[in-house]
Parts: sequence; structure tokens; C-alpha cells
Amino acid sequence: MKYAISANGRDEAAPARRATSGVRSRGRLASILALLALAALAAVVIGLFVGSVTLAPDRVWAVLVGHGDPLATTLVLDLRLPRVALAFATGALLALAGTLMQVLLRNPLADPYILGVSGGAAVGALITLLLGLGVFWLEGAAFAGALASTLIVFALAHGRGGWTSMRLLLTGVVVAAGWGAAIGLLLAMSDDTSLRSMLFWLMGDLSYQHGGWGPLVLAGFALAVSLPFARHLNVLARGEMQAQALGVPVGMLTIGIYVVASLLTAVAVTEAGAIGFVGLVIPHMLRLAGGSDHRLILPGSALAGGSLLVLADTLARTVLAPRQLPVGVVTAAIGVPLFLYLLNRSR
Amino acid sequence: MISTHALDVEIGGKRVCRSLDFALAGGECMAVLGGNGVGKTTLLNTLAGLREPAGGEVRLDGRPLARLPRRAVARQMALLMQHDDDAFPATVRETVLVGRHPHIAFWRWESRDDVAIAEAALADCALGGLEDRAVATLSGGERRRLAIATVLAQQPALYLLDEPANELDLHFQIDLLRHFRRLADERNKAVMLTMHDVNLAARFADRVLLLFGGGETLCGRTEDVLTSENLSRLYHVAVEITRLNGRRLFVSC
Repeated sequence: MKYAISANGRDEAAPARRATSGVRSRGRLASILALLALAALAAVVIGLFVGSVTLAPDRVWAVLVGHGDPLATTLVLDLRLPRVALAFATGALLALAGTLMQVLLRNPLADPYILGVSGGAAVGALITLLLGLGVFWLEGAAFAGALASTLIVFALAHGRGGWTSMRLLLTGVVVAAGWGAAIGLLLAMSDDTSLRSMLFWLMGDLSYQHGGWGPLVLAGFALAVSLPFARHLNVLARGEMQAQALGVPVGMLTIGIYVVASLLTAVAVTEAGAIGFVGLVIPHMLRLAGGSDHRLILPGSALAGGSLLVLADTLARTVLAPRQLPVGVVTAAIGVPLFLYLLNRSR
Repeated sequence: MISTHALDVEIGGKRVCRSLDFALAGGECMAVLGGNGVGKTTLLNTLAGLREPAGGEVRLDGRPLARLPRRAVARQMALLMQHDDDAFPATVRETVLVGRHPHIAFWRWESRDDVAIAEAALADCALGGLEDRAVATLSGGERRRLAIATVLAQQPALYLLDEPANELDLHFQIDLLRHFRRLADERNKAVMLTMHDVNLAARFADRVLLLFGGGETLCGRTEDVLTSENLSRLYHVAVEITRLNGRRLFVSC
């Protein structure tokens, strides 16, 4: 070690050397976000211009600037736009929730469903499908199931004394396994007609929906709430003790993360079923592309998750049109090779 | 700077210290010695306010630690932990900047000054030029120096260091301890560190705290406490003292 500190007394005094790297990293962060925003815009445009019914681009454009013909207007504004909004919102919610869960559990394998949220939602949803109830009941039951799972895991993991991330993780995994058994039981008990819709729901399905404006607002709100804490998340990712020693209010922060992430997942799973992959892999793609700063990862994963799901859903409803594929299958089909490519390149 | 008042520390039903009273002032360096599992880390964590004491209290500048806001505490004292948790990839620069966290207001970004302080801390730990390296590609010794640089970047008044010399080669061990000695001598910092090397403790610490286990402790000036008798009792092996160039050397027999 050179004794620069004691040699020239730079320790407490303002540093004499010009430091530009902080500014440079902020510029890099802004440019990555700008790129992702462009990608999101492109995904939305593709989602609006492409569909199971072929519409000439000029007809779609006419609708967007306000003087389209009635058929095109119905297709673009009433069918495609709400669905694109829902897909974007769901992807953003899942990617945000995945980022938060990974920091909370300090485990790169964590995804939004790791604490059993999707299992609880699925059991609720499948029961309504088994009973042949309507969409309204399905959503209510899925949301109730997700919240119930969240509360169960929280209460069990809390137990006596505090919870550690390992205890929380194990509790979540075990509760999720319990839900898995219940799902298997429900599938075994159901008849052939409801089996198909159940399987679609389990793989993630955006086709029931009436529009994603609510979830979109929620995703924006969640981002606005969590972004100011991004630097705290950077510290928390280094370990709970370390974070506490650096002055982060760890207890309040972890409970906050738990509540927000669970709520986002519950809404996403209620709206779109258990869409896998997005919440696990999008945060890692950001980490591979841009480092560990959550001031980048949080907004970046919202944009990238939204874009991925819009593209996946566009494919899902066009590839075999008029038949629709479960969107979860397509997210994995796009995401797996993309992720493996990024992972390979980074070594 | 930091003081304990009738401090009892326990872990897993085992006593680490009983009614411990000491005060460490700026400019002083105290070494904590004791066998494996005797509770050195537990004591340090308690002093850092990360554990509740079983009795008594810790005060920072005369005020009870438990009642001070964590962020204010983090500006006053830094804790170097024995192990790092790096579940997620990060660069060297991002890691060392984490040390600036308690100094940056909620809404603010790291300033140029923060970056310069962090880079100076890296240079002090001979890590200059590695700013953009991924932590995962560093060697064990380099990671240890990165953790030390993070603590230096925090610029506290009190350093609590849990086995800082771990994984460092002889050269860096001496450099590291000299560096903290100078921080104490020239910048009036207080340093408290756990270690296993009695000779290094004798060379760099003004005061020594021995943890014998079962709650028994002995605290005093280095030359008074580091006797053949005390050390033999501490480590349960015979320790003898020889002299080399006027310096006391401790040798186990």
C-alpha cells in the first residue's frame, strides 16, 4: 500500500484529483436506460401493428393519428392496445418483483414466485375454473390466494424472533411445494374441458383480459416508490449485517421489499396467470449488461420485462393464428437463448 | 470515542465477557486476542450495535449506542467483517463506493468527492487500476484488500476490524497495520482489531484485550498484558518470549 492518505493529507480534505468516473457511470446508465426505452417503444409499436388479422401499416397509422376506419379502430384501440398495455404492465411488474425478491433473499435464483405467491394464486384460480365460475371470481380467488400465501409465508418465516433470508427462502419453497401438490390434486380431479383452460392459466395467459391500465399505473407507482431506495438496495445486496453497519434501516427495508414485491406479483399473477421466466431472468440480463447498481436495474428491468412480454404476447397471438399460444411458453422460447447468449458473452 | 459499561455479552448460552468496562479514545489502537470460538467477532458486532448485549451498554461519544440513529453511527464507526457476502456480481468501483453510503443524503448520487475518496481508498490498498474489474475475478487477498478499502472509504472516527490480516501476505499484513497505526497517530482515529498474530499485536497495538472464554477478560497496556503467563493461559500452549533487535517476540513451544 502506498500511503497516499497520510502523505498528503487527503483523507478528510476535499479530494484534489479530478474524478470523472462517477459522472461517466451516470452517463452510461442514462444511455442504457435510453436504449431500453427505445426498445420498449419499438415493442409497443410492433404489438400494435402486428396481429392475427393482417392490417396494412397505413391503416394502423391512420388510427394512431386519429382518423382510422371503424374496423381498424376497433382492432387497434379496443383489442390490441389494451392487450399490449396489459402485457407491458405484467412484464414490468414481474421483473420489478423479481429484482426485489433477489435482493431480499440475496439469492440470484429467486423469482417472484419463489415464496409461493403464484402457487396460492393458482389454487384459487383453479378452484374457480373447476367450479366453472366466471372471470370475476377467477380474479378474486387468484388475488386472495396470492395474498394468503404471502401472509402464511411471512408468519411462518417470522416465527419466534427475527427472520433470516435463508429461513424465509426455505419457508417459501416449502409452502410453494405444498401449493404444487394442491394444484396437482385439482388437475387430477378436473374434467377434460376445464383441464385445458387450467393448463393455459398455469402457463400464463393474457387472453382473458380487459386491459392493463390499472396494472400499468401500479407498475409506475411501484417504480416511483422503490427507485429512491435503490442505493439502499445496493448496500443490502452486500449482506444484511453489512447493510446495517452502513446505516441502512434493514428491518423496515426488508419488510417494505417483501410487501411491495408480493403485491406486485399478486397483481401480475391475477391478471395474467403464472408467467414464468420474466421475473427470474430480466434482472440478471440487466446485471450482465450493466453491473449491480439498482438505480439502473429497477427502471431497466421494468422496461425490459415489459418489452419482452409485449413481444412474446405478439408472437403468441400471431404465430399460429387464430389459435393462441400460452404466452409463458413464448417468453421462455425468446428468453432462454437470449439469456444464454448474454451469459456466454460475459465470461 | 467508544466505551463499555458493565457490558455482558453472550452467544448461544456461552459468555463472551462479563461486566466489561473499557474506553477507547482517538489515537489508540486496541488488539483483541483469544482462541477460536471465544467470541471475538460477537464482541465486535456488539460494539458495532449489530447485537443486543445481554447486559450493560455500549456508548459512542458518551451516548448510548442503542439510541443513536444507525446512519449517524455509520458515519462514526465502520466494521470490517470477517467474510463478505457477494451473491451478486459487482465491479471493484461499485463495491468500494458502498462505503460512502452513510455520507450521501437520501436523494443524492455519489458526488465527485465520493468517487475520489473511494478511488484514493483503493489506491491505499494497492488496488488502483482495478476499478473496472469484476469482484469475482479478484484473488482472495485482493478481495480482502477491497473490503478494507470499503471501510477506509467510509472515513469513520472508529474502525472495528475483524481479523483484517486474514488472507493477506506478510507484506500486506505489515502495510495494513502500519496504515491503521498512522490513521491513529496522525488523524486521531480509534482502531480496534481482532487478530491471531501476537507478534503483530505487540508491534502495533497500544492496548490489548484478552478473551479467555467463560466471560473472563483482561484489558490493559500491551507491554503489561502480553506476558508469557497470560498468553499461555489464553491459548492453552506454552508461550515464551525472546528478544530480537530489542523487540519482544512471542514463540509457542
